[in-house]
Amino acid sequence: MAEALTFPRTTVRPAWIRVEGLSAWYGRRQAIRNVNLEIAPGKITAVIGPSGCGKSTLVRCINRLHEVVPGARVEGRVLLNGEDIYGPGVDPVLVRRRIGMVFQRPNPFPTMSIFENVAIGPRLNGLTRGAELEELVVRSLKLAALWDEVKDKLHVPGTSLSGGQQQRLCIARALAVNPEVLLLDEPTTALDPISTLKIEDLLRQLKAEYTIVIVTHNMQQAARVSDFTAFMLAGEDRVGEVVEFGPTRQLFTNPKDPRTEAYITGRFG
Amino acid sequence: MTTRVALEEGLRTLEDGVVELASMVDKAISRSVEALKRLDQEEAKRIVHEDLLINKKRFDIEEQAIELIATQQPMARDLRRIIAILNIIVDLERMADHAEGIAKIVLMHQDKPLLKPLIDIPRMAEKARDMLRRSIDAFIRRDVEAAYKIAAEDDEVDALYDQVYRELLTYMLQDPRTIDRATWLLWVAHNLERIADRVTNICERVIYDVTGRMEEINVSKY
Repeated sequence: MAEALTFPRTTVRPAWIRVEGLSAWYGRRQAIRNVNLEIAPGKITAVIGPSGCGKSTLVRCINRLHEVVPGARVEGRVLLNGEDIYGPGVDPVLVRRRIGMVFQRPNPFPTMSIFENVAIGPRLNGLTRGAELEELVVRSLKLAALWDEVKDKLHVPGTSLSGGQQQRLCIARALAVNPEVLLLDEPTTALDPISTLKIEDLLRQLKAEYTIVIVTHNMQQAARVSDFTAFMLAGEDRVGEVVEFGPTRQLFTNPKDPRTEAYITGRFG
Repeated sequence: MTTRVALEEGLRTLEDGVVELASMVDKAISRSVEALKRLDQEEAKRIVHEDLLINKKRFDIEEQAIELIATQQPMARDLRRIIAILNIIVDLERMADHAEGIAKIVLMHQDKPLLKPLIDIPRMAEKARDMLRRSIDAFIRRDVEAAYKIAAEDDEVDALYDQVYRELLTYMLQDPRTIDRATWLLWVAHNLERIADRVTNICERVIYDVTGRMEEINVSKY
């Protein structure tokens, strides 16, 4: 617990993740099958694919959020720096602290100020001391490239910000608990193009210290921002699989699988 | 299968442009060697002037390609096709410059006769033009095998160049007064040799377009 609160965190190098033979179900319906992925430390990995291919399910398995859905089930392993997050005795709450998540719709806590939105995580983890907490909030807002825009109004409601600012606030909130990995599930879908590019710039800055996985249905975004890309597709049985995984520049210039080719060139349907 | 009508149409327009540009270049090469045979000064001037049209055609295609990239965001094979075209048109335009170079050598002759009847130079031109036409055909048909084969034929042009060089050297050694005109003909041969080299560049682009591999094939000895 204490380790997760240290800032800057004790593990200097960004974490690596290995997904091994991962399958996931919602009740009796299988959503993804046998996913194997090496998520490189300090890089941005994009997961792309058409709607319903299981890309959101996949990232939700990477921080044990999938199992929150009633009847949901996971098989396989997800190793965080070699340690299986599904191993016996592993606390999913601690996993989610080390592997943070940002969602499609900016979701700042509506009753809380900008400051409180960022401070809530550390507070829940037991950090209440004023100066230290303040320092952590400021640092998180700076990391999220939001500080300059909000430093004079830290105590107004988080929901008073623009959509793009709210999403960066959510990123600051995720960073405040000092995760090693940041998962983003279509984080710019609800944003305008300029706010989208700001988030992408931010991710590029953050990747030196955080391992980042971004789910996006915007291929151009994956091409712009990521180092590696996984293309997922659901077959006739509607179970999603990773069709191709590789360096982004290779996947977008010379994909190996004809299904990837069809999808990224837009000849797909 | 969804289609991308605007992208498909744009790609077709670019391909048509490449074929048209290649045909203009082919004609320029052929006309420049014909003009040399007859030392036709007027025709040589026209060739030099008409090179501007070839340059313009190349820029037109380049602009269309940029527009297609900007508006359609092509990926994978579509992107490779456009990048291949952008490279091919540069080689084509440079080939036309070589043809223009030959026309300028016609102009240098003014009222001097040719040093000798042309035998191997027209052969070089025929071979280079044949390679050029087939390389464009290979590009349109995405024929990698043909691309390798055509590139290998550059050796034949190199061999003819060797022959021309040795023959002209003999002239120069026997009579230093021929050095001027012998050098001019050597330049002509060199221009043709370069044209064939540029055909191998086109062949490399065919291979890139189809396979995504960038490789240098058949490095010319010159």
